[in-house]
Amino acid sequence: MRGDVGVDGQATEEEKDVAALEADKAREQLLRGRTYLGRELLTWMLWRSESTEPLFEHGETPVHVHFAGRITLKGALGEVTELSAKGTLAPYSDQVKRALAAGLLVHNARLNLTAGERSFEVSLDAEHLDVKAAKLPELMTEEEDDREQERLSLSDLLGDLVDGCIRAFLAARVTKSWNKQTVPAMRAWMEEAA
Amino acid sequence: MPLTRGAVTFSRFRMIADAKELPQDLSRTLGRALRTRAFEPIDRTGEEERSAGFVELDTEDGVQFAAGSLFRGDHVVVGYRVDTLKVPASQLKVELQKWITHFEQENARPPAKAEKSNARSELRDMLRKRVEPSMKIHELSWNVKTHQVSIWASNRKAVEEVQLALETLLGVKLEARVPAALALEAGIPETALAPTPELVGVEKAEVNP
Repeated sequence: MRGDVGVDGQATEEEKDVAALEADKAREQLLRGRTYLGRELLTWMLWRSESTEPLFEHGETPVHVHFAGRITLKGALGEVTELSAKGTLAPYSDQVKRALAAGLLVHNARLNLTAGERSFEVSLDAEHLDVKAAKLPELMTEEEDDREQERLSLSDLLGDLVDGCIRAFLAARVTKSWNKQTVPAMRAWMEEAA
Repeated sequence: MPLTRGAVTFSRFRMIADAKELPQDLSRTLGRALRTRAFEPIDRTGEEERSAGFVELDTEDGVQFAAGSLFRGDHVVVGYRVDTLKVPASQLKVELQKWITHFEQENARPPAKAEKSNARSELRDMLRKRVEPSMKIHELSWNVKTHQVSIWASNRKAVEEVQLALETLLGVKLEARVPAALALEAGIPETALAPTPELVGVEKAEVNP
């Protein structure tokens, strides 16, 4: 006797084993290298991007973020451990909010970082915060060597902007208002779509 | 080359001194250091299937690393080349079958196991001389003022290999620019970095520091 069984007892037991393995793997991914911090970061950025306020200032230049395009959510609990959504407005959709409310957080997203007149389109992942498939702003220089240096400078600037996003998130996260105000506000925003 | 055109993909690091200070007088010392880990082509007469090492960015086989080839303003730029030489199994199989057919015609019997094995070995050596190695160059840029390092590769294993090669070469550590690292820089204690249960669904006690 195996306890709870379905119509086909053998299949149900194996499904449970596979599901348990998947859950373990999802949990391991979440905790490895504190990936959960990256997911909280990207989810916080998504929430903040609905406001017109800048996310932070780079020097004296306000930096705004806007999510556009593909978004991947991941979680460690429940039957769904990963969900992807495509579409220009997908990140702001009710389906994504419902998934966030269910414990899936942003793991990978395509977004625009705008600092003054410069705009960078980039994909970020929660585990490594690597810059992926980033489109740099149009170059001002014409000489080949100068263009290479300008691309290097713009890439450095993009790296600085990503660092800025992380610092802004950490600054919010260590305050007392994180648990008392920010997280409840984020939950309320996620549950709007419920 | 992603450094010079198109969309950019790179992993971000900060260079930290390991046991000693970060390298000084780079224009003199860096070239010499890179030459110790310069790329060498695969010896086609040997058994190696892979070779990896540093190359100049402008020329895929340049290994002199003169200052002029390394520096772009505040940045050092260099390539990490990986060549692999693999005889396609399907090609070896075709050649072996041709050999077997010819052997049977000449000897009126199929080849013995040892004969077949020797033939396979010789055919493999012959094909190794014919097949062109596949080449991949990963770019690396290092801002010598801010010590930010970017490894321009989309494959995670490649990033880790280049990271390790640079760390070993210069005796430094490359710290990934992730929230945990920036938190450490800002003096935020680890106790403040536990998961937020209402978001993540994992309790503090379940995190291994």
